[in-house]
Formats: sequence, structure tokens, C-alpha cells
Amino acid sequence: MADEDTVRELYEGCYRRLVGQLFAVCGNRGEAEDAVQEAFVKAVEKPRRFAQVDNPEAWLRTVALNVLRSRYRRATRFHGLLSRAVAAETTTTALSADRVALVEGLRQLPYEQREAIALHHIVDLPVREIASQLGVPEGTVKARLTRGRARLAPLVHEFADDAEGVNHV
Amino acid sequence: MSELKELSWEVQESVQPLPFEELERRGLRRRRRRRTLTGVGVVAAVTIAVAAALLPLGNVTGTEKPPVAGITKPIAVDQAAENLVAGQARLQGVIFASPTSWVATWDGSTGEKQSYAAVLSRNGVRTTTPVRDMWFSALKIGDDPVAVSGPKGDGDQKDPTWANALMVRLTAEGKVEKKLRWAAPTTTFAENETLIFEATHEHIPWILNPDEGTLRRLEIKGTGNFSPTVQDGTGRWWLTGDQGKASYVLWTDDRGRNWNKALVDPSDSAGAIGVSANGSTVVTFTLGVGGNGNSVRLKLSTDHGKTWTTSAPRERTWSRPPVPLNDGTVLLLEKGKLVRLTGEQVGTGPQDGELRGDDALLYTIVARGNDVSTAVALSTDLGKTWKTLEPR
Repeated sequence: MADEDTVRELYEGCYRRLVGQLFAVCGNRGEAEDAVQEAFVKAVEKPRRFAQVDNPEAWLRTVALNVLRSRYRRATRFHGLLSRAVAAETTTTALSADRVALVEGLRQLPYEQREAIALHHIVDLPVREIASQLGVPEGTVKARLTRGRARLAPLVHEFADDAEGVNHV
Repeated sequence: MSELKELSWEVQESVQPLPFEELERRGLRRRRRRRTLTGVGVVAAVTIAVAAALLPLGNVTGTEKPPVAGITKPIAVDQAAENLVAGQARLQGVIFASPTSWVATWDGSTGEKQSYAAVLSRNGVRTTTPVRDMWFSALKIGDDPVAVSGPKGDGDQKDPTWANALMVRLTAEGKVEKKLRWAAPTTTFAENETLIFEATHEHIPWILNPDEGTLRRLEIKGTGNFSPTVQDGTGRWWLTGDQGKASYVLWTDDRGRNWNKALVDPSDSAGAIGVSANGSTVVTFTLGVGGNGNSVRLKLSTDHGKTWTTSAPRERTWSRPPVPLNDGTVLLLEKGKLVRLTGEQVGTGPQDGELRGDDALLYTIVARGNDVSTAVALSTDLGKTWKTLEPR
């Protein structure tokens, strides 16, 4: 029971935060919630493995991102296109016009750039850790961040500064 | 606080979590099911081990079938891949090179670890790829099933993940496993080369040279936002792509030297393209405003791309392109019914799934919930009867 109590405490403490972070990646609250819920279900399903995890919130985020990525790939294969394959849901999330524009801007990025931007600029993970979590070289993460920031510069003030020469990486 | 953090914060403030007990019930249910399956798996493994010890399988070990006539090389078993596809992996994709030759790609990612493998089968001979942390793409070269796992990074020349990239092909002579390396982008490709769409995270057409073991980007001037490539029986390659705001069907008969095009929509992207086996019937569809795809138009040619018609807006009830047949008709799978574009029902089918195939063989991965598809439904009589296969 202790294991399930731990998961319950985490659920109460970080479920909303994880959904907010994943929303930036998929632009759809329902999909973000599904992915985070799936991560918690896996934690309940395999309590021993979960108990050995050093950073449970990071584990849950990584699992949820893997779920999102898997579904995203499925959607892109079926629809054939990247940025427009995932349905927008910004209208039901009651966001301001600026936020809707930002979500649209994020959705225009390739999935991997969105993922890197969210992990670095929302979760505050360093490049090395993102590279480790995603299993890609650090240079790849840096390139994805640079390209993503350049395309979001008109919508995000700190990226506009970046475009003028500030190095965030 | 940055705009991105403010966005994330606003969303999390609007979230109403489900009661934890609901997720807990799902997790506990899966745990019980997994224990049951593990017990069944142990019994099966013991049975196979006993059978392998008793039956005369020659040099072939494990679950591999013995070579059939024409195939002389025994194929070694990759136990990690066998465990992945026999476990709780999810069927990601399947391509039939012929009714008896196929490749199926599996996602065995558990928790935070990503792991993928593919199973290839050719006229009764079966093998697997090694396990990779980058997905496998399924394709066919002639009657040969082929699986490709590309670089996991950006796929440029310096990307160190090229070290893990490989191609596995099952030919009449046996299994060919080849490491893949980067080659410089080009606008044309050779006769022995094939196009592949999902070789990397970047969804663009790549050129696979199966003899040299190279992958290189295919560049089509002024075009982006591509759909997967399709080759018809005449050798012509097809895809859709955007040029500016407009979307086009593009095709080439001379391996990229010249591209022909037909406008799909002046301001909307096009979805994937379907082409009949003989190349005469071609269909694609608009994605709809904002990609929602609720109201879309079909673009259809029944004369190998010479002339095109565009349908009135209609509700999209499919997610892959409809399946075009050699006779100019197009099939849709709608809620368990196989229908022509005119609405005429010609057969039945699974309730849900993305229809693929041609006149000779229709197939679709059978969807069972969100993440647990393990089977494919097949029909060789245009949907009158179906059988199910677990391609592992």
C-alpha cells in the first residue's frame, strides 16, 4: 500500500504541472492529460520498478512524453503530414489570443523541436539532461533548440533577444 | 516569467484531475493481467524449449523456422528481439510485399526506455531485426520485406547516432543486415534505390540505397511538408507536398529528374496519397482548415494523373487515404463497412482501423484501445471475408 500512497501523493502534487508541460508539446489538453494519466497507470502497474526511480516526477514526465511521441508518430503516419496532423484544441482551453497564437506557433514546429523547447524553457532542464532523456546527442538538442527558438522569436520575447545574440544553451 | 511558462501555468490551473482511484484501478487491472500473461509465457517458453530439443531443426535454433527450398543460410535468433515482440509490444505498422511476404514493426517501449524491433516474413521464413532505441520503418523492395531504423538524431553528416542505423532485408537467399551511413542529399535517385519516408524524426523523403547501405535526403525544389511516398506498378513515384500555401500531388517517372504536379488546394495541405497497384487510380484529400479535417475534399484521378476531379466538401471518416482500386473505384472503411465513394457497400471490415492494400489484398491493423494493437485483419476478396494475423 505504501507504494500506491506514494503514487497518490505524486498525483496530487504534480499531475497538473505535468499536464501543463506536456500541453506545450502537443497543444491539446486532452492528449496531454491522457499521456500523463498513462504514466501514472504505469507507475501503479509496476510499483517495484517505480520505487527504484531516483526522480519520480522526471520518470513520469519521460514516460508521458514517450506516450505522446508514440501517438504522434502514429498520427503522422496515418495523416502523412507533420505539423497539421494533430487537431488544435486551443479554443476549449479558454486561452487569451496571445496564448492561442503561441500554441499555434508551437504546433508549426516539428515535434522534436517542441519537445526540446518545452523541456528546456518550461521544465528548465539543461541540454545534457534533455539529451540523456531523449537518447540523442547534445548537439542535436542544441540544434533543435536553436531552430525552434528562431521560429518562435516573434511570439516569445526572450527568444527575440536570443535572435539578437544571447545564447541560452 | 516567460510566455511559455505562463502558458504552461495557465493550462495547469485549468486542469481538473480524475479521481486517483480510477487510474489506480486501471493500473492494478493491468498488473493482474501481466502476471497472468507472464505465467502463460513461461509455459510457452518451456514448451518451445522442449520441442526444440526433441525436433530435428538442423542448424536453426529457437523459434526460427527451418529454411525452405532456395534459402540456404540458417538465420540466427535474436533473443532480445524475440522477447520484445512476444511481450507487451504494440504493433506499429505492417506492410505486405505479397500475401506471403510482410514486415511488421513493433514498439516495445516500457516506461522511460524506448525499444523497437521488426519481424520480417517471406514465404514462411521468418526473422527479426535487432532491438533499437529508434523506431523501424517498414517497406518493400520487390517481394522482399525490409525494415529500416535510421539515425535518432538529426540525421546530418556528423550525427553520431548513424552508428546504430541499419537495414534488414529478407530476400529469396536469406537475411541481409546492413549498417546504414549518411550520403549527401540529391535531387535524383537511381533505379536500384527506393524512397522511404520515416527513416528519421524529420518526416521527409529519404533515398535508400540497399546495395551500398546509404541514406540520403531527397530534395524537391520549393517543396516541403511532404506526405509518405508511394510507388505504383509502373515504377512511378507519388507524394503530396506544399509549395507556398498551396498543396500539390507530385509524381516522377524518371527518378526525380522531372516532377509533374496537380494542384490539390490553394490554401490547405494535402494528406497522404493512395495509388492503385496499376497506377491508374490516385486519391488524396485535403486536411481541412487547421488540420482538423472534419470537412475535407478528395482529389481523384482515374487515368494515371492525366486528369483530376475534386469532390465537394464531405465529412472525413477515415485517417489514411481511401484505398484506390485498379478499376477506378475507391474503397473506404467506415464503422465496420467497406464502401465505395458513392456510398455503395461492397463488404464488411473491422470497426476501426486504417485500411491499406490493393485489389489483391486489403489489410488494416486492428485497433484495440489506444496502445495495444497486436493484430492485422486481412481480406483477399475485397472485404467479403477477413482473417486475423498476429505478425510476430
